[in-house]
Amino acid sequence: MVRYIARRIALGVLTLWVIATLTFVLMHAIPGDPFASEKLTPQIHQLMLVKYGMDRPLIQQYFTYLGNLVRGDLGYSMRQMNRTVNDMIREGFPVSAHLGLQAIAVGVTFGLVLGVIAAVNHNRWPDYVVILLALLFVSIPGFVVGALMQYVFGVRLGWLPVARWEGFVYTIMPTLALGLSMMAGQARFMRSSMLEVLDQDYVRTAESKGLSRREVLWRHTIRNAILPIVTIMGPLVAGVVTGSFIIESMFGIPGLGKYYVQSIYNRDYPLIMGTTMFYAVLLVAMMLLVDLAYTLVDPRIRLGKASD
Amino acid sequence: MRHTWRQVAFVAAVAMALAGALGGVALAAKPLPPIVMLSDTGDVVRTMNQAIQEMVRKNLGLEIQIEYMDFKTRLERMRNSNFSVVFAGWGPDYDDPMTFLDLWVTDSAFNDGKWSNQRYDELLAAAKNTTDQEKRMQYFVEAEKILAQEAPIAPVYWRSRLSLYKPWVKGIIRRPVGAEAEYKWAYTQGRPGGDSPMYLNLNLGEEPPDLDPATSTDTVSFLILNATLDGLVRKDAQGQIRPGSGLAESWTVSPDQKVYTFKLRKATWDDGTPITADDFVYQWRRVIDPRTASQYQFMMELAGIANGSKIAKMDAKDGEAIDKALETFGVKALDERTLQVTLEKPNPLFLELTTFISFLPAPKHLVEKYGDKYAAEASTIGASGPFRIAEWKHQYELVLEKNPKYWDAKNVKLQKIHFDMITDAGTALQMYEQGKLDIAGVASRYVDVYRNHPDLQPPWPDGSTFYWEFNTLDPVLKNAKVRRAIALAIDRKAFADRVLRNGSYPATSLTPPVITDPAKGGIFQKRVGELFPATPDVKLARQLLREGLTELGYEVPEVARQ
Repeated sequence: MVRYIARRIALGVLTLWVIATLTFVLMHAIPGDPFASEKLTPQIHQLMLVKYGMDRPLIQQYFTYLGNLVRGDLGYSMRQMNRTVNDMIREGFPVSAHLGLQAIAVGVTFGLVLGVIAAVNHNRWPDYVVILLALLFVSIPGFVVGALMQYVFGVRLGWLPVARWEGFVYTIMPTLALGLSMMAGQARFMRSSMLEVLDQDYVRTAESKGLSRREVLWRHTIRNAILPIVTIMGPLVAGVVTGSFIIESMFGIPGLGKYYVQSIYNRDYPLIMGTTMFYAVLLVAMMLLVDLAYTLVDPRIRLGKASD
Repeated sequence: MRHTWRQVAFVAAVAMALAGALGGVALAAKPLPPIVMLSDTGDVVRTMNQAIQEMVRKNLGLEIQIEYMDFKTRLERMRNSNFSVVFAGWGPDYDDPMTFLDLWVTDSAFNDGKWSNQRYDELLAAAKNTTDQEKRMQYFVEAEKILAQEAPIAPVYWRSRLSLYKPWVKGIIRRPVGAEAEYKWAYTQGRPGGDSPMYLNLNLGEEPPDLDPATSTDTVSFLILNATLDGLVRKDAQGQIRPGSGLAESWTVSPDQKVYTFKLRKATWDDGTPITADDFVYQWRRVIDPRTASQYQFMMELAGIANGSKIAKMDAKDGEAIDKALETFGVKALDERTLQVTLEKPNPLFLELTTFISFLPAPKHLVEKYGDKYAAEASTIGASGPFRIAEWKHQYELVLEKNPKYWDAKNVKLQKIHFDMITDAGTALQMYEQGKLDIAGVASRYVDVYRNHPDLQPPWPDGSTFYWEFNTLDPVLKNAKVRRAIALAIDRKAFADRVLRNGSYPATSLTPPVITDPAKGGIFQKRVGELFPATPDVKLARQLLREGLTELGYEVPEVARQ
């Protein structure tokens, strides 16, 4: 087990290095730079490049960058001149993570429940209702749901604040806007996974042994059906806790999601690299966690050698 | 191998015949090469470009291809003159026609179309070398006429913006030059729930990227800087510059108009430290210093402060030489409260320029203390203006409170201005509806929804001109007649009324009707008149296109042949 984890971590570091290098290359391959603006003269442009060490050869910039990365120093943003990327992530991530985890809690919980309900009532009306709901929320993008909610619950009914991030009541709409499509996806996934398991011989065996319906579902079906769901949870969590650009812009939430898109648009190199690497680290860590979680859900799976 | 003279003669004859035949082909008109226009990817910009593309197609039969790209890519292509046409815009840096006309001199860094006209250059140089305002304006009028004749650009519209104001919002002064809004004299009257304490809830739209006045470049930061810092002068409610309107209580000008001596009023920063002449010296030196790499360094040069241009051109890597040269920079503290500025030559714009953001002093003691971290947080920034930053949660909110140490605090009525940073225009409007914002901008896609809203303010001209810029190195657009033809084919009125629908005006010249005329008073644009027609002059446009394309040897499109 220990050796397995060590190997996975080494592999993770290698992955991160590849991502850092690719991002660096791609970022410098697109035209424009962080300082380009309508009122910038070539002289001052050159001075800014010098000031930020961007007049040096790319390879040198790359190694400087890697060196800082290893030390955990992500540098200063080139758009918000006086702020470090570390600060931006430190302030933005908790907010995005809060919203993301809440959306996952809502989305996954209700999604799984609905999926189970649909599978158990296969081809009866609850199944159709769930399929219809799932189809609806998978098709309608979060920002449309968000805008509708803002108008109906915010402006028309006055029940909820339209935007800002002050307390629980402020989190309801963005959580739903982010969580509903997740719920729909999970419900469809769980339904098909359940149907597959319900068809297995061991389920029939369990039923013929005279186990109660509930026991069959709980002990034999759901536990096995949930396995594929665990697999997709890793990337899902990493993706959601790092924030959604559209939802955060819409609801005026000071999260990390905004930075991803804006950093690319602004060619804010340190911020592009910082946010990308942060996301990559999370993703690699989540994948490892998922593999470890597997052993808990499925006793047949053993990581590494039994002797570890 | 040896050739006889006969063979040589034969080959020569064949060659001449071939050349003649080819020459004959060359005399027939060549097909038009593609005219490529660069466009940003936003919905609004797309619609705008397609509208003009259609006008040029309909009126001239010219096909313009639109190439979409993001903002930074477009800028890079522009700076490298890698385009035929581009839709661009310019907002004024100071209240004088020069801020627009200076763009098109031959060696201007912003002249991406590489247009060059000797007479035009001479006029602008002459305007810079005289203090006679009437003469300056006459030069500018002539320059505008050359622009219209040669059409390196085709002005399309003067932008206006729409916003909703709650009925209780009073006294905000909006300015097309400098900071967009002046809050010093703002107040509320009749707010439900009472006007005490007095506050405003506004939307900033985004995080201010840079609140160090020496390096700041964007309108959002300017808004906050103008509210928190006083310069030598602050334009009053009527837009006038008067002694005592800012930190300078009085000043004298030497007989040769080159030396200004400002007497500073007794005032302190919000932390109680006295504001001294040295704060000004320190900050102005930072702006001119190449190591600072301030985008607005050119404003110091424009002001003509002694030795400024020389220092600006120094090598940023030679710190020692720069430090020495800065000692000769024409701005000196004679004592704690006396600032002396020496200009290279008399400059009628000088006082106007000192209201610009780059000339605002930041507290030297804090800039030295915090270095790169100055203005990064509410706790590392100083104020000398009507307001100070009380709270600042990045990407979320910024709260200004009345600055108790402000020299003119008795005239500041607002206790607090709360700024949200809502990027989404739709969300901001919903918040306005919910009563969470006192002002909201109406972006073009919401114009139809709010057209008859009782809170809708008259369109506010923001001072920017948007124009088509032609690349004069382009094989077709190098011809002035072709450029002028396109400029005449644009239906500016239809564009403003039907495409923009936000109260923007058809631009009939480059300088917008917000720039004042210092000689006659009023607006400079009145002298200029309509140089580009508001409605297209199709007949003349087609005639010019025929002439231009024939001169170049290109085919004339079917539509333009009648």
